[in-house]
Amino acid sequence: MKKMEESHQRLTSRREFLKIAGGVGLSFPLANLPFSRLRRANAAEPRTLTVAWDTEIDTLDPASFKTIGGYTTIANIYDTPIYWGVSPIPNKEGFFLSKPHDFVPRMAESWSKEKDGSVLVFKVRKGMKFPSGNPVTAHSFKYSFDRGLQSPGYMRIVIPSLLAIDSPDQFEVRDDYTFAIRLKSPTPMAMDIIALSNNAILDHLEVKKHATGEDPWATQWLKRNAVGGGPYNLIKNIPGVEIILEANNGFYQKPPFFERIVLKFVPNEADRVMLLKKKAIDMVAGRPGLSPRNVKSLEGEPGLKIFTVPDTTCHFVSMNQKKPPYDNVKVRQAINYAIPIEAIMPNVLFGYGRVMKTPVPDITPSYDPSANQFKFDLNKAKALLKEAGYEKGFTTTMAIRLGWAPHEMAATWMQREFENIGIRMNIVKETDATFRQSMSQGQHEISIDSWQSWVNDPFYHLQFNFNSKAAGTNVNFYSNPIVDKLIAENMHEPNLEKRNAASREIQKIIIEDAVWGFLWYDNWTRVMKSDIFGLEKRWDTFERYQTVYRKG
Amino acid sequence: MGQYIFKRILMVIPTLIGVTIITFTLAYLLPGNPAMVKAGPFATPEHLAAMEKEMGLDRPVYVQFWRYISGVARGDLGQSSSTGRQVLEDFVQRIPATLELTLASLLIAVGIGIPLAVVSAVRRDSLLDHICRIIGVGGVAMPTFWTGILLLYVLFYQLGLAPPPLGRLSPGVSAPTAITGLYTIDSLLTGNLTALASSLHHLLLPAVTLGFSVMAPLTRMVRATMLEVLSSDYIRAAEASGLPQRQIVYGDALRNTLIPVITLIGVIFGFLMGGNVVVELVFGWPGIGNYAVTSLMSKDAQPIQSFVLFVSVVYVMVNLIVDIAYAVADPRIRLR
Repeated sequence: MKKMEESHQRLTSRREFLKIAGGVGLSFPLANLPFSRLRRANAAEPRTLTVAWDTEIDTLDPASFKTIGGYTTIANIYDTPIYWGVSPIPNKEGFFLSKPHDFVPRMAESWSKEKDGSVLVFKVRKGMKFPSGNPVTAHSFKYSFDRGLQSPGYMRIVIPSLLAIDSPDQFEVRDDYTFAIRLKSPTPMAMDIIALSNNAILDHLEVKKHATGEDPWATQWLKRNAVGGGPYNLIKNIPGVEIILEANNGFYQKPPFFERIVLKFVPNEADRVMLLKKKAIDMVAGRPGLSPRNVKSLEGEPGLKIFTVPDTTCHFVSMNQKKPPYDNVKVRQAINYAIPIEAIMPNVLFGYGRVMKTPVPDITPSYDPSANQFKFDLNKAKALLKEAGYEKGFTTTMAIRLGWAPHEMAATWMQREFENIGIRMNIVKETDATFRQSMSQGQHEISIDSWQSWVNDPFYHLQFNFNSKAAGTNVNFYSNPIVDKLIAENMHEPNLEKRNAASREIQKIIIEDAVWGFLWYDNWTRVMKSDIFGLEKRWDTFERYQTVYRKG
Repeated sequence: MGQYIFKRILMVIPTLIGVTIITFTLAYLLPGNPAMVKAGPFATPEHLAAMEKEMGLDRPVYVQFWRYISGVARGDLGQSSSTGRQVLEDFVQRIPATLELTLASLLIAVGIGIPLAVVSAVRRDSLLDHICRIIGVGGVAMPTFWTGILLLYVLFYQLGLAPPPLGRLSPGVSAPTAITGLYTIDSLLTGNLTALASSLHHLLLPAVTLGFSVMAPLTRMVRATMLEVLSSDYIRAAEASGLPQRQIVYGDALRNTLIPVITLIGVIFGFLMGGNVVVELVFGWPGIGNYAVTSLMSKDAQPIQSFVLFVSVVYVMVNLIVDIAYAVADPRIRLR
């Protein structure tokens, strides 16, 4: 099938070529005929994986990138001290998934803990080189972490708040191949934070050449230039067209199967579906890449397969507690009883998601849905509204992000049921920037939002979403001193049993307070050609192409 | 003549100032804080304030406007937050793609539309005339994204004749040496036939889609003008003198018909430069329209602002050229 298609295309282009040659081409010297060039190109064609997505590289600076395109590229062209480990998924050949607290060596070949875990010591693998030829040493490690802490990216916020580090002195070079991180106190999240691609190890000798007095961390230069050391090198980045990665020959592990990765920018989802069906690409990536409806339509399509696994992304109704009536817990509970989740799951998500029972995802440690009594029950919802003093209901406006099909559909389902309990709800669609601005300024009344924790840790998750001091990410303006206190006390608690118990207690409080309108947890889904194997899904959801291969 | 052109060029200046004021106001009034987009989800209020200061968003409006205007004058259109590059750099990369598509579709619209119009005017109410009318109405009635997807579905997905909607060249074909940036022209100039074949192959479907959508107004207008001209006195005189029909239609009538068409082609060119947003999206064509849509979705303010400015400037320039061409073609204009 594939062969036929190729020869067909070549035929058409030759036909086209003859037409042109007949028309205008006769004036060209015959030596320019392209046949010889064509044949050579075919023989030397590297093994290529073609992926379609709709995202760009906003910056190549590991400490400050935000787009999916930026993250995925960095995860492939840089390397980190450690990775989240992955294990095979039973009954799904060639697919792998992360497990909590599982890490594997990368640029650090081993690590150990000192002083009850408050000092982490990494042994740097010997003999590694950056593409420039500079060796990878503990100095490169220190420079990269120093830079994260002090350069203008957002790592300077993440490192202090989640690693309990506020001085570069805490990053220590013991010898050329030993690097230590001295935490103020041990934290169970440390290894997860270190595994983030933001902590990519930079070729510090190279980066320093581009530092200036005004820009001591070479932020401007690193935006567009990569000093990798990862399995791939960035060969080409043409925004709006494609990103091309090629295998890094100097990489310390065995060369990847695919020598070239072509990430094609395809902004139109209908095109992505057509390209997959036609097998003109190997895979669709990005988030969401394909909406659940389209994934459903590709089920059973010959020559394609669907890889779908539970993910930690939470989708929820956000209710602004600074705005009445959502300051009233009874109203928030009523909303939870009026969400037709049983209808939303099959009609909006087509099975590619799980019902949310508690704010902590079901694959995160300490997940405990037992406190959740909510179910679709309009009588109960009405009764609660009456108790809250809104017997006649009220009028409200729900904000959703433009272009998020599942949110649009879910909003419509809710609108219909809310009407039945007297809540007249308008739906407004806002662009991402408008949405985020209105949200952070507390202008939204009710909205649909989502959150994905790169680190699969309950307190990482709870801190951002429910701590009253987490401005900008606590989108409900929820403020509960007990929750704040529990988070502060247990964030870095080394006793996991105690910590998980605290998380369960917080979950119970948040469910009782009905802080979110509970919707669903996403699945992470990729549709690809049947001969593609070796795809690994990690907590951060961005694929590393190093292990992907074609079989048959 | 020289005086007329000079005056006409002078008139462009206030128009351009007006355009910049409007684009600035639009971007200023649009909801959404660009600093927030740039700062990212983890931004603290202090971080955000610093970002706003860096971007000058804390300054009074007139200061912001002055910064914008002087930036534009220097070619500094700001930075795109999704590609992280200077907007000007992104534009320079993408304009040739849009220009190539625009010129190709204009060529298709004019090359097919005008002969069709002439034939249907001459053979009025014949079967051919009706077919032309159906094609014309179809082109207007079918939204371009629909025509585009339909053509893709049939010619790429079903028949495999068209290439996949993945840009301007097939994978493995490298771009010709850049001279104009238009792949077809560059590959012709450098004699790179592989690239020429591949770029024509990729250009065909989007150009047909776009050309089809603007063919209708062109055909309708040429047909109407042609009918008017054909019933005018001098044509009747020519007919009475026994001149051959061919010479009357293609010599006398057509030439006079084409004068108003110059204006229309100018307008169509401007429309195509800005209006091919949807077609570029459907065909994954890496032009400025595609850039504008993706920027719009992520509220990337600078590229949108620059896109509006660019399209407006194209319109202003096209109008200028049309007016001058008109003066050359019709001596009565410059006497006024």
